[in-house]
Amino acid sequence: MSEILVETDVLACFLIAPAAQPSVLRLLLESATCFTTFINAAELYSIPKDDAERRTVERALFGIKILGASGRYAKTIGRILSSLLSPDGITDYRTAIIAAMCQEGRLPVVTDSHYDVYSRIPGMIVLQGDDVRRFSTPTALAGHIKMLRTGMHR
Amino acid sequence: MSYRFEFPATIREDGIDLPREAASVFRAHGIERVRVVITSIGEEETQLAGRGITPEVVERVAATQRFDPDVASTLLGAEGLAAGTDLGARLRLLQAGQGRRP
Repeated sequence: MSEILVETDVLACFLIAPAAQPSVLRLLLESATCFTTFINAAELYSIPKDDAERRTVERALFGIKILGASGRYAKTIGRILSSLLSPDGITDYRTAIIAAMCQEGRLPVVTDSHYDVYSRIPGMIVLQGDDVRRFSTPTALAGHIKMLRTGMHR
Repeated sequence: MSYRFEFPATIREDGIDLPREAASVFRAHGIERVRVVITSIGEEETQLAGRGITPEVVERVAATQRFDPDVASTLLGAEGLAAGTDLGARLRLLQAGQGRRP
């Protein structure tokens, strides 16, 4: 099955996309079941300042499957956190939790903003917007995502 | 506390059908009773067509995501909705600021 996780920057880009070309999220929606996490949804909901803006953000999440974290992910989160630990001891819980949710669900992640940090985590499959755009049909993109998922192990 | 939501709905002979996703949003807010205001979505379909979102795209998204075409068109109608607005400017900052976190 073709399934993918979209990061906050992909959702934000969707809301501000120019009309000239399809957004990355639109291409993904045509090709794979799209998931995001409660963290990404919360980040997006932190931006609106009034009810009208909140409705706009809500609309971009309408129907997107928002995943919640589970206690059973603790071991995976811990393993990822240790691989992310910076020399100054700063811990990136956000990235570790989302990466663990990707690995537990065998979901490749699509992001431009977080590409570098996810690429450093063993076992992650990361796509950038340009990787999505290079496929000429939704079927070809779906096939690629499906193939990437078969290489992921829980 | 009062909320305002916008959902696609299908008018039928015996009532109005809201998508399943609407019920879960209401439940999440603990809302049991609502007042319904109806707006035609013809204008929305014109906007979608203006961005190249054809009925075929809507059908494909609905089939891939396994939701009603009305839900697909509501979601796709959000594409570019914040472009050129204050919200859009803040979303751009969010997008640019991410990745620079520890």
